[in-house]
Amino acid sequence: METTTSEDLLSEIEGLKLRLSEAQEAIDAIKTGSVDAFAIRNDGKPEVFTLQSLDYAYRVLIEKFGEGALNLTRDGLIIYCNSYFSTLLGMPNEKVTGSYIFDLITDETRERFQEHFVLALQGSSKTEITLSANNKKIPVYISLTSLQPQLATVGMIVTDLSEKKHNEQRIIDYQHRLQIQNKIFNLAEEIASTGSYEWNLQTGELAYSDNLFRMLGCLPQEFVPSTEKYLTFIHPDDKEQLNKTPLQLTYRIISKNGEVKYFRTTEKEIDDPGRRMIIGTNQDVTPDIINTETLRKKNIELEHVNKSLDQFASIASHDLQEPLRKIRVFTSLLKHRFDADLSVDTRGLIDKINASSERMSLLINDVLNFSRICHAENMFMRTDLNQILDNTLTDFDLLILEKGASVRKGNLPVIEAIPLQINQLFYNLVGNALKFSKAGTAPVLTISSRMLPSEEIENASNLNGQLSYSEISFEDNGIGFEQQFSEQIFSIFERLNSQQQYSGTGIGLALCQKIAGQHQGGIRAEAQENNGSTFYVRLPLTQSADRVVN
Amino acid sequence: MENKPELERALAEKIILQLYITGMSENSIRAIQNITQLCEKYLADRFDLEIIDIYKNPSVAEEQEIVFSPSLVRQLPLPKKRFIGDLSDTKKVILGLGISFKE
Amino acid sequence: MTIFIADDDEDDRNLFVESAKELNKDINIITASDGQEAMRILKDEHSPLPDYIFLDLRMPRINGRQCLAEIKKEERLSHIPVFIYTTSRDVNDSIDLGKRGAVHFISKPDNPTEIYYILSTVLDAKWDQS
Repeated sequence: METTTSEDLLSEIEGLKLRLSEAQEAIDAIKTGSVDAFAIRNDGKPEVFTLQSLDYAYRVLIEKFGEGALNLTRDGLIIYCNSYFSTLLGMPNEKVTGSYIFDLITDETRERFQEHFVLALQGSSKTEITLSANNKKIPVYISLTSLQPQLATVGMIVTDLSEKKHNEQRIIDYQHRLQIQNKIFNLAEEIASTGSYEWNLQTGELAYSDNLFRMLGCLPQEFVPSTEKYLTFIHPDDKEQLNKTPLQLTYRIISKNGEVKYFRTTEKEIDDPGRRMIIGTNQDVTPDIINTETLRKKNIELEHVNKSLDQFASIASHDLQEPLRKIRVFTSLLKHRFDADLSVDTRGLIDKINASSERMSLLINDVLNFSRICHAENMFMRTDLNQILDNTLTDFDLLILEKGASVRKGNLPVIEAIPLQINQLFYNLVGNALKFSKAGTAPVLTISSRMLPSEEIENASNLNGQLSYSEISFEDNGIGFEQQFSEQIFSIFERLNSQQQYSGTGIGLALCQKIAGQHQGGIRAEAQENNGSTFYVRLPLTQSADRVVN
Repeated sequence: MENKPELERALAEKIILQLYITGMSENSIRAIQNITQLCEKYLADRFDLEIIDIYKNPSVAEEQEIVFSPSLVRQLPLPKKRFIGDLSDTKKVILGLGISFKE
Repeated sequence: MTIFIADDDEDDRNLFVESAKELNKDINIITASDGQEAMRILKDEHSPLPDYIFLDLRMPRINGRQCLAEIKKEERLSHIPVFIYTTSRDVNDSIDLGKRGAVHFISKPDNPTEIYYILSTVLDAKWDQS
């Protein structure tokens, strides 16, 4: 028993007042919502109680965050899941809640899940499984945690891997396509004899395609590409030219095995933000260069040969003509000086000698002309055939007069031709018409022309289907010939009559055929024995594009 | 804590504070902001602040009968003082803690 | 009258000389058988200056064209009318040599009796050397 003094009572009251004010403070705080939770000792165990406001924040978090969240019992029953999870499965939330998690997992991954679930009961575990719902398969990454001791449940966080998986698949697809593209690209490079490279100007990295290595005579990726290394392949005489960027140049390289090749390099700058690169292609143009060079050399050779031939022909014909001239000169002299002493027979013999040499002379000229038809200096130009014909007829003025011949001229076209050759052509045809006239009948020569219809051009094997043709006919009323010889007569040196009957070298018609051929045209004949003949000359109005036209 | 005069004298210079919170709430966040501002402004380095999450450490209830969140407890100097709420009434807290005003 | 002829062909030279003598037996004819000999004779101040010069085109060593050029360069010879006497029947040669100073281009006839007539015409005419 203690006597309590008033001091004791006062201090006790003070203590009680303090405790009361504290308690009141606590109650006020709770009332005003300034506290969220409290920890309290209950039967020796501390516990935390949460008041309304705090809980709400967590709920919002779980519902709104972009992962699936579930609460599972030890048997795997889903007692809670957030809307993300149910949406992921494509099922209503009420249906998911209350079902077993095992039913939502594919057969293939269920065993794995069960292993990890067991582990999680003691602590936590993470793994990858595949969920299955509505015939959808959803690959996910899960994190399992035991919520002991507070709750006898397992919490599960679910991360959807579909997009990641999808992207992974896309990457695999892209890689596959890239491989194929690369293969095609490499093949294309091989076929086209090109090699390419990429040069990153910022990092200095250089990459060569496989074929570029091969073009340099090396194995693909045999060495680490660098500008210094590339320079070692360049022909010493061409090194200086490689100083511009981007490069557009043809130069020589010497490959690893000593081959000299011509590369045409084309470079392009790429200036995207973030990278500055140069991409380039080297094309092996050695065959082109060599061919062009060979062609050029061959052309020069050909020109030389032609020139020599020309000279040779001129000189040869001159030298060949000289002795013939002498024969003529001295047979003339013989006849002149010894005229009184010569019998008719002797004079006849001398005449034969003379005639032979004359013929030889003509032959040499004709052969010379014939050989000239073949080559160069044949410039096509606008040629008025009417004018050529008039010139030719003028040449035969005298003969026409002598024979009392009449010529009927039709209108002839203007064509692209070599005037000198057409002259020779007309000259031979008109000459023949006058020469092979019937004895006692005045020769009548009719010259006309018509355009060839396209069917006839197509049917003719010797004509160019792309051009339009005019057919000029030379019709005479002379001795004609048997139609069976109509092709033979165009052969060189071929004659249907003996030399005694009609003079001539037998080259004339062959020359005509050759000239017609030179112009991409043709010539043919129709005749009857003793009933005149017609020669049809077909010439195109214009020459084809590859001919030189003045 | 035991009421030891030597200990009391040794720690007389510093104010030992404990702030109890639950990590997620608005009140807790405000309490943290308020106390740190207050300490920086008026106490400089004369304080020791411990922030304790009662969810993570329910055992704090063993020492005291009940611990509210958010609440601030001055452990030293004695006597212990408790402030419940988010500490937005700065004057009350300062007066209660017995902090002398610095200019 | 003095005539000069350069021709490498002996027959042609002889025929020419014969015809000329037929025309006028007192004609003095100097012959050369190639261009080099021709120029040597013509440039020789001791030999008589010809009234007319006949040149064949095709001659060994120095040909007719070159002779013509040299003759036109020599002050002493440049006034003498030069005739080209050749087997060539090429009208281009005729034009070309005319430009180089030849007064006439004569093609050697097949009938040698014609040479007489050619010469009579040629030597008779007045050739203006302006």
